[in-house]
Amino acid sequence: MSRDRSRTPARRANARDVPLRTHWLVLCTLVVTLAVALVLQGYSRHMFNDAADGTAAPPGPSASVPATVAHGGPVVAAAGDRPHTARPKARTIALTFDDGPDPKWTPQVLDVLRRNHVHATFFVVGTLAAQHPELLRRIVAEGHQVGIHTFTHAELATLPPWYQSLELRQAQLAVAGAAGVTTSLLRPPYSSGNDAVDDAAWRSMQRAGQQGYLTVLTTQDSEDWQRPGVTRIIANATPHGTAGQILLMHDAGGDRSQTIAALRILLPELKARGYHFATVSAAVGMADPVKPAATGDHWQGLGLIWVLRSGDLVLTVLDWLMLAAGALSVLRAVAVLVAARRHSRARRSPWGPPVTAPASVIVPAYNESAGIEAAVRSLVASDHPVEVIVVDDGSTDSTADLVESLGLPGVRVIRQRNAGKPAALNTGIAAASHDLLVMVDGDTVFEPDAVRMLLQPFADARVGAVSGNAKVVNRGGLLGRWQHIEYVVGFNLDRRLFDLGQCMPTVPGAVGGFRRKAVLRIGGVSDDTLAEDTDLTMALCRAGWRVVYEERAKAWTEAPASLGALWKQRYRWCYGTLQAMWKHRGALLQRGPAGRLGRRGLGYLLLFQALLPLLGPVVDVFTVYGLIFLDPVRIIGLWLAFVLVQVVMGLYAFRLDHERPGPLWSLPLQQFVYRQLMYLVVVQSVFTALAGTRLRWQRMERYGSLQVPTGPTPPPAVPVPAVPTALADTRLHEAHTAPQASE
Amino acid sequence: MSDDTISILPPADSTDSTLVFPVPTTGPGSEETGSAPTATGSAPTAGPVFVDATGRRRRRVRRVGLTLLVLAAGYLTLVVSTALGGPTVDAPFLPLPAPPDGTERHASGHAPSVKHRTAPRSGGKAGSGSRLPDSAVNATQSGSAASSASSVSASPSSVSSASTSASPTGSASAGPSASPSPGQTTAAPTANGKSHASTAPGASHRPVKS
Repeated sequence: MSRDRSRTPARRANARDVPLRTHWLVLCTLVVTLAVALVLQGYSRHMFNDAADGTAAPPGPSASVPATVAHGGPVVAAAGDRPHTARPKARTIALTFDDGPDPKWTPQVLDVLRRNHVHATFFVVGTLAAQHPELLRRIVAEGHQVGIHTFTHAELATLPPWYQSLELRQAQLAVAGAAGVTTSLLRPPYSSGNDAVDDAAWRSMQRAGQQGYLTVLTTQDSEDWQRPGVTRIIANATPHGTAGQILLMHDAGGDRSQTIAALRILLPELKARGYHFATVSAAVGMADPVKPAATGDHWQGLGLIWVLRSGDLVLTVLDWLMLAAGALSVLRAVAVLVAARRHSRARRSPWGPPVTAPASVIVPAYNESAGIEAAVRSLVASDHPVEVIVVDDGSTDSTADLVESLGLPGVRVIRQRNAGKPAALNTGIAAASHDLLVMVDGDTVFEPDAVRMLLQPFADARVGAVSGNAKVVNRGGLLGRWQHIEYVVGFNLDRRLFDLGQCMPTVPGAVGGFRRKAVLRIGGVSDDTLAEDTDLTMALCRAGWRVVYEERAKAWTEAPASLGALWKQRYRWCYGTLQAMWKHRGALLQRGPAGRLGRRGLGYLLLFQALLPLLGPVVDVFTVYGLIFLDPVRIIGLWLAFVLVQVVMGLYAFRLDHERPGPLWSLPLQQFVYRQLMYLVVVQSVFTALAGTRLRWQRMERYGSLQVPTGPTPPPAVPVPAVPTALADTRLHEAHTAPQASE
Repeated sequence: MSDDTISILPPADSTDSTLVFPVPTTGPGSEETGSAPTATGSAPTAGPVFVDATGRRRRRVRRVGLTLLVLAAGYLTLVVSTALGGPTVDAPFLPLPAPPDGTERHASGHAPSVKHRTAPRSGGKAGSGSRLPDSAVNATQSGSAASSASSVSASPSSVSSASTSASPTGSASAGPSASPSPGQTTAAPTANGKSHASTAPGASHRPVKS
């Protein structure tokens, strides 16, 4: 029996309708992974200080530095309680190059060294070694020694112990991965000679010593990083006397051409004078501190290098995406503003002779007893001749009875068993006796002149549908204001653009005018999608009818007041729109009006309702990254610029609609919760579309743009006594016979 | 107008492609959405768009999601392991300043990877037989021969007497100079000090390699 048939799908669907939660888990994990990758990037890139060596913190007290160290040699073994140092042998210069490897300068340095048969020591920065492993391999292969210069050129003394250890370990890993060696030589960034070691530096040297490092300080600073000129560098680098020296030079961190030019002159000159060049360990006379890395360490090092490289890639991709998103948003704003201006000018001219033919207003209703009375009364009070057809879609709160009891003239009530909004609309269309239709929602309140304004465009015979101007009535509260802004700026401003481009994808179900024969020709309202209004409009466009926007036809709707209700509404709309877009995807390749819809309308929707919102989580993560690691002022400035663009758009839209601009103050706040809600809705919709799950609403027993049907619950505003089942049975029985009676 | 009149409740299981209205049945929507003569028709839909009743797409999407999850977890594990890990390093002995009597001394307590120790030698001849390549093999281009002797005494490291087993300080015999590639483990070129003798100041410009 009919009752059984209406029950069975519920049972069947329940078993299959287990909501899919995988995608939230995956999304969260991906966001966390992205965040980690960005943190790594921020750590390894942003912290690297190029200006380096001269700009260290001023030295502090050095009371606890032992005399052996303060007056000792530059190579310091700091572990244990008896630190000792070593000096290079007499007339021996240990050339050291800090801050490398650099793809531009290091090869040149290596060439000069090779030509002069000199071996030097390179203290490499871990992040750079990871970026240029081949340079490190060349350094090792050509006989030079490698030491570490921390991972991100951090000033060790100012860091907490765990951070110091991290820097050293990561640098070692980078070297192990890049060149397959480990080294126990360390040169702390911003260090100079033994006399410059203060307490904090000494403590960090001790810690490094405990981890197995020898700290290599400097005895002679060429100051080449300051680029004082080749002669000055040579002068600084030439030792006086016969004592051995550890010479500090740089092969990265800026323009090192002077360094290389100086080297070309310095090396032969010093050799001629009787100096020898050696690596640090050779100069000091100790065993080679550079050893082959264990396989596990080498692989772990490769892992680190790979992680850093992939982070680089991710960041590059993100940069481009952000740029694209920003450009698109600005483009959209400009296009919309220009279109709105042209549209408002064009609308000043009338459509044609005034349309006075009566219209049929179809009101599909499911459990709308709260708002149906106001809606119907407002329709009856229109200044245009109308017949109102209320199609009760199997309501359980006696909506139909309520309407009938009003006893308003020109109002017909059709009852049908619950079949969904599209079916209710079709019922109404079939029952309508006029050629012009107006389709509304069960709780939409019309202005007295709205119907008339809505019908005027039909003076043009090419017009098949007219979109009215839906406005939010409950504007109090933050959520209400945001939705009010969105309706005015988002929907209505966009509609002007679509109208001009003749590619309107949606005539809202709350206030739309249609030509009956146009709708019938395309087969009425389909329930393939959850957004039947979008579906219908797209089909009309493809059939060649013009769909226009009449902003003077105002209707008031109640926007959802809670986040949950809003979520459900927008989810339904978004998913439904995706369905409609997919269903009408053929329009992309068609010609004429269908092609206009396809390429312009669908393209716009795809870009701004689907793709750009999907970037939303990425934008947020990137913003946080920028606030932490990049210049926060710049990031905030960028955000403010975007908000400003939106405010300008909002002001213009409000002015066009003759709305007071007061609520716009909440626009900046919209960025924080509302925007997230909107893009999460899109994520959920896309995922549901991909996974092919059936939503609850797609069962025929539910619809309703404002109420969330979780069962036959009464609308919250008005308590309605539960209808006893016997009465419901009678109603259902009537639904069979009533439609024939009303015809 | 007659072509616009259509019965309200068409037969329940009509599959007529000219049927205009969706049937209020209990199943998923209409069989055919109908197409306008002017538009290239959309294909007949068997139900709501996107809904895959068989659940196959859902399983596939789930599989893809889990794969992504596994990849992300792998990446995170890699990151954590590199953050927590790191090879251990051990610095070799740093030669102590030469004591006057040339007794053997050990540098601070690192365990070098020295393979064997040699007896201390008197000055000038150091060079343990360690397999560690190094300056020990300083048979090298010592430009100024004369300096070596004086430099030897001057630099603590070079003091041969301090020849700890770990540090071949063959440099005692010659001016230190460029060492051969650190990666090489030249088997004890200094095994018997002969090389050092031969690399007396100014003797050779070539690194002794074995």
